[in-house]
Amino acid sequence: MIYPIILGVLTLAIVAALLVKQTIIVQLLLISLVSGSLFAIAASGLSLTYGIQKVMNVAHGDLIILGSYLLLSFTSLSSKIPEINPVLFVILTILILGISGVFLNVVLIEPVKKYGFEPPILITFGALIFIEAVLQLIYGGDVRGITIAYSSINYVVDGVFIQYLGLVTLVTCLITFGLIEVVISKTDLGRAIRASSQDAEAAEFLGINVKKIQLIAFVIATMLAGEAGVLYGLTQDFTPTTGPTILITILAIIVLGGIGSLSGTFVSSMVISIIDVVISYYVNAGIGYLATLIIFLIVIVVKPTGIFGRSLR
Amino acid sequence: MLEVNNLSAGYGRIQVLWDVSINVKDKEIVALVGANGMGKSTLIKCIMGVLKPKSGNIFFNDKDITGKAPHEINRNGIALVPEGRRLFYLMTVEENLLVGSQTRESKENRFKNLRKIYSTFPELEMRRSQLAGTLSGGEQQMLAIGRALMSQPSLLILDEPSLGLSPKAFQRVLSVINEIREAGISILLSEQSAVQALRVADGAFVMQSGRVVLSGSSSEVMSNRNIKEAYLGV
Repeated sequence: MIYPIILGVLTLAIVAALLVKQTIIVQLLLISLVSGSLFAIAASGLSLTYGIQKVMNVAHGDLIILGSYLLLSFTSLSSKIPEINPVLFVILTILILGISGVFLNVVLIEPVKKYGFEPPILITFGALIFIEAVLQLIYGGDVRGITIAYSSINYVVDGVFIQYLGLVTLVTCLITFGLIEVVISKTDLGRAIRASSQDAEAAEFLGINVKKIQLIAFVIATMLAGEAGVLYGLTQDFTPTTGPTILITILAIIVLGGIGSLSGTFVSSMVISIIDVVISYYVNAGIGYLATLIIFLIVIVVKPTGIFGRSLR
Repeated sequence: MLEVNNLSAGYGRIQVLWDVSINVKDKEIVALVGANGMGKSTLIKCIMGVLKPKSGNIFFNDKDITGKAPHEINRNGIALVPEGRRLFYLMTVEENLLVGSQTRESKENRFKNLRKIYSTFPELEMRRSQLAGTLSGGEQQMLAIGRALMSQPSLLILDEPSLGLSPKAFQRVLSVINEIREAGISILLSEQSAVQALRVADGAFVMQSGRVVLSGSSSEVMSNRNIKEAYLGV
């Protein structure tokens, strides 16, 4: 169900590019697609967590930045030991984020979940501050970026500047969303995840260990944060306080797309990126970010279920 | 097969079950009857592990299952068709059935079981790719039964299957229950509509105010004059 929507968005972008033929418009469109892909992956994890477990993990943005810093450390390590394949570092980063997901879920979220919706928000907010403080302690507050051999590979087609890593981001996003869709809709794990989120007790009666299923889903979400962190680190600058900024954009995306809807997350991520990029180019970057917040507020007030949202049942 | 011994349970300080003992034998249909609010659902919650009993114990195939988690109890061979059906309404009919097979054994026989259920309930096969929420009440009950059977239980518990069904649809459920028993599965049928339940059952337990006030073969229970007047409302 998600591929027709992704293809639709891409065809729309290509048709628009062919129609205008104006270099700057095509360039902005491309930048939006790439940043939209990055934020779609970033948002997918939180969308899953919220849709499945009804838990709002406000540390999600900081988990992403944690991933970026982990990759930063690994790449500086690899300059000393050049024979290690850099792909290993990416896998390692994602795995470490997965393990931190186990910790977050079992030690912090699970014990307080039964007290309602707010305690997990407060406790993950604590995790957010903790991660930020640790990053500040280890890396300092300077702006960082990761430079690898691929960072300098660019193409110029008809005056349009294309970054190799931008293309990697776009393709990774398509593969990631395809994989999530297949897992959720076609596998036993996916059916158990959906069943548990719709009626946890009825799922238990059928032999599903709901706590275990929710832990698995949470770990998948934090691994997606790791994946987003890798791509964010490779394509953007970051500081220890970037996490909450990412979180707010992600929240705007999820709310606009409809909570728990994967297709909605993808489409709204593209929409918000286009608005952000265009305003940032023609006005300035601060106003672009402000526009994201305004969209967030308007959707909350006018249509809280989002464009693709539906109420359960 | 299922033995509940001297069970007491309740919610907080309010005690609902008082010293309840029931048992279900192999390949037997047992009716659990009594009016609304007499403790039938609480007893089922205890058996399924949703509610921890204050005292007493529950044995299934000579294994103590008291206080186990619901999914473990299902994996021991007890499946529940919950009151109000509790389907996964945003999933298709077939997905609802597939969710039912979670143990390794039931996964191996998944498609064999699916075919069996489709031959018992042809209307489910016709609507296999429809969302469960779009089915009629009777069809939803069939789906809830089919879903529970997918876990290959040796005991099937039905909680108020007549709820929200037409008399005709309920008759169908009762005849299906008979077929399931013939396939070798024991059944515990908790039902307010006592007369119909007793007609298909072999044995029966009558509950009133959280206690078992009468038990025996279903014909004995049915012919008991006091019971007829006081508890069954006929």
